[in-house]
Amino acid sequence: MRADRRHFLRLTSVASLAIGGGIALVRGGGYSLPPGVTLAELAPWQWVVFDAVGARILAPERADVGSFADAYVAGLAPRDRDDLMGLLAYVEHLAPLAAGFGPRFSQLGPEQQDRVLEAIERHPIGLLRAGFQALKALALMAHYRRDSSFSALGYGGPVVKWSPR
Amino acid sequence: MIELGRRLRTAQRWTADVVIVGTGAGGGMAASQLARRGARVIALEEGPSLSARDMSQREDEMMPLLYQDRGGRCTADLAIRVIGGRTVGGSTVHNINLCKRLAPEILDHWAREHQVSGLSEAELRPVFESVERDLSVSTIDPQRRNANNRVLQRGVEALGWKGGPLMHNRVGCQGSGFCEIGCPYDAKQNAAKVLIPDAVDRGARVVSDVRVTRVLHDGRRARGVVGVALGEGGRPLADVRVDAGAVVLAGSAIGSAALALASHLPDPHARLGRGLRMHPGVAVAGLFDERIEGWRGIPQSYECTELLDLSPGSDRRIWITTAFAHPIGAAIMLPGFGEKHRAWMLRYPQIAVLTAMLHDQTEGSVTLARDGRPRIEYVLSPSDSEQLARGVRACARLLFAAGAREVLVTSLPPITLTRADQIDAIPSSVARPHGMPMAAVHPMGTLRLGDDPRRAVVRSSGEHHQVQGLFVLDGSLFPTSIGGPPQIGIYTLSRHLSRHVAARAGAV
Repeated sequence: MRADRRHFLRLTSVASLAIGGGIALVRGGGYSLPPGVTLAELAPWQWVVFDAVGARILAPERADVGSFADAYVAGLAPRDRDDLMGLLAYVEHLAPLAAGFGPRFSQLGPEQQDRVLEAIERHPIGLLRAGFQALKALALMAHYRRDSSFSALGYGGPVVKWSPR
Repeated sequence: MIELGRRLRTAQRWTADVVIVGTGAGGGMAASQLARRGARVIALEEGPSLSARDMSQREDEMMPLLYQDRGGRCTADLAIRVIGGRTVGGSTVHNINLCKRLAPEILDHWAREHQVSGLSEAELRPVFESVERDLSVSTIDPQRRNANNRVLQRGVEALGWKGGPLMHNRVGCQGSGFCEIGCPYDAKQNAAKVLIPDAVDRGARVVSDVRVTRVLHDGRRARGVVGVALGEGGRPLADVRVDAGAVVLAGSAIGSAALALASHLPDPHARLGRGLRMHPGVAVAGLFDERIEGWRGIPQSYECTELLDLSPGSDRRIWITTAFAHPIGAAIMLPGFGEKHRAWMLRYPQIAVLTAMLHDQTEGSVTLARDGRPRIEYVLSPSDSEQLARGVRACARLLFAAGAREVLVTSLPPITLTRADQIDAIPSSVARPHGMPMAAVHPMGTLRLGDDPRRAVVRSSGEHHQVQGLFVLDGSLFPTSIGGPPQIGIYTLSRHLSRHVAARAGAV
């Protein structure tokens, strides 16, 4: 399916937030951050969803995907950031409903979350499949950027020992 | 010395004979050639100025520094990732240094079908030779062929297919395998190392961190450019204006087209930004019993040309070479998530990867989004999708012939093959948009060359058909796909056509 990505994701985002907002009103319950987490760019609910998605993408490994995403989105152009947040709202609110689950994504169990993510990964709408790839890439980047992830792969990592000046 | 736009705090107004937008293969060569001819040159680069000491060999650090949109630039439908450079040296800083001349079949076709004059193989041969000499182009030593490339060679030889060694422009290569995220050993003989310093030595001003937003013109004559110096995170710091008698667009087929559109250049035949080709490619992985460790050594040193015929109308339009990535890139390519994905990653050292790249006929376009950024429309035609699917099958055949015990097509859902007789069952649909991850590293053709103003944006001299003094010297010029790595073609056209810029600017 071809579509203008921005228009599509905006619509998806608005719909997701509206429906999600309704669900949140009915069920109550907000989003709380673990102690010590401070956010520069994301809202708490966005951090929670990034973290929940990341946990399933990387399982059984773990990485602080929420905080990595908080830093990553700071460098994005406004249009790209809007797209990403629209997608996140879709994952949290609409995708579980489409997969037959009432609670939002971040409140589902691991197996249910995997089913939701699999449905997005193989969704008939190409834009959503691409969106899944974007979330997956972000989580994988959070994990495989760390030297501690290299040894399991047999990968030596950088030869030089410096960072860009 | 390269001047850093990020240090500017007040509005600047400069004058020059020629202002060049972009410092990659086209802009770097133009800066060097024009400075050699005595022109007063200012070259502006949107990205930062980096040295070998900035190249940390870390994907997460280098991608945002070296690539447009932090490496996340995509077509409007998100189906194809479009890679382009944004640093002094442009894409020559992160490319894999492959060197191929524009093929005679391509140049003949341009002359016959696109009214391109003065760019025959015979006319360009001495220019190719000069470029190759200046950039130290040589055949990659077979002794330096890494295991991933030996897999491709083994497959080619086992099948009796056409293939051979590739050429590159490296000197002093340490074989670390991090070419795509910048060379910390300064081994790349590219625009940043060879041409920009030469231009600066000859008096050119090269300024980083300046985004050009508009070409100044009155519809008939170019007058210069305006832009803005960028600080941390792209924050605008100071307005920049350069008044010049000649303007060269060399910001890639995406960037130059977007700038042309933003500048409201005359476009009586609606050609600006049209005709985008970009060699989209797909990757196929093979699992081997032995360790491949494809991240080590020169990433690409061997090619398979069995399915590549550059003659017009050919139905063999696939170029195959190797493609390997460091962990983040590899992880993104491998299918699935969670335990299944992890299982593939744990076999990372035993994986060889081939890529099939399309000599495309699909024509996309660059337009401007509402926020002013380029919007890339490109949807593979059915015949191009079919070609790419042939490429996927050919990669699988090569991997099995080389001894792979399993082949993975990274489609959605993924296809895993354990025997070569399963290859023909790979459906053509795998290579449709969103069928599998695709990337394009060679955008071209959006400001085409040709003497017919109804079909081309610029003349065969590189000068705009309607706006005197405005030139294009980058991959935007190519009237068609070229079917191979473009850097030598861009360097060569820029070198050859720079004399017209010099003449217009009043230099020798």
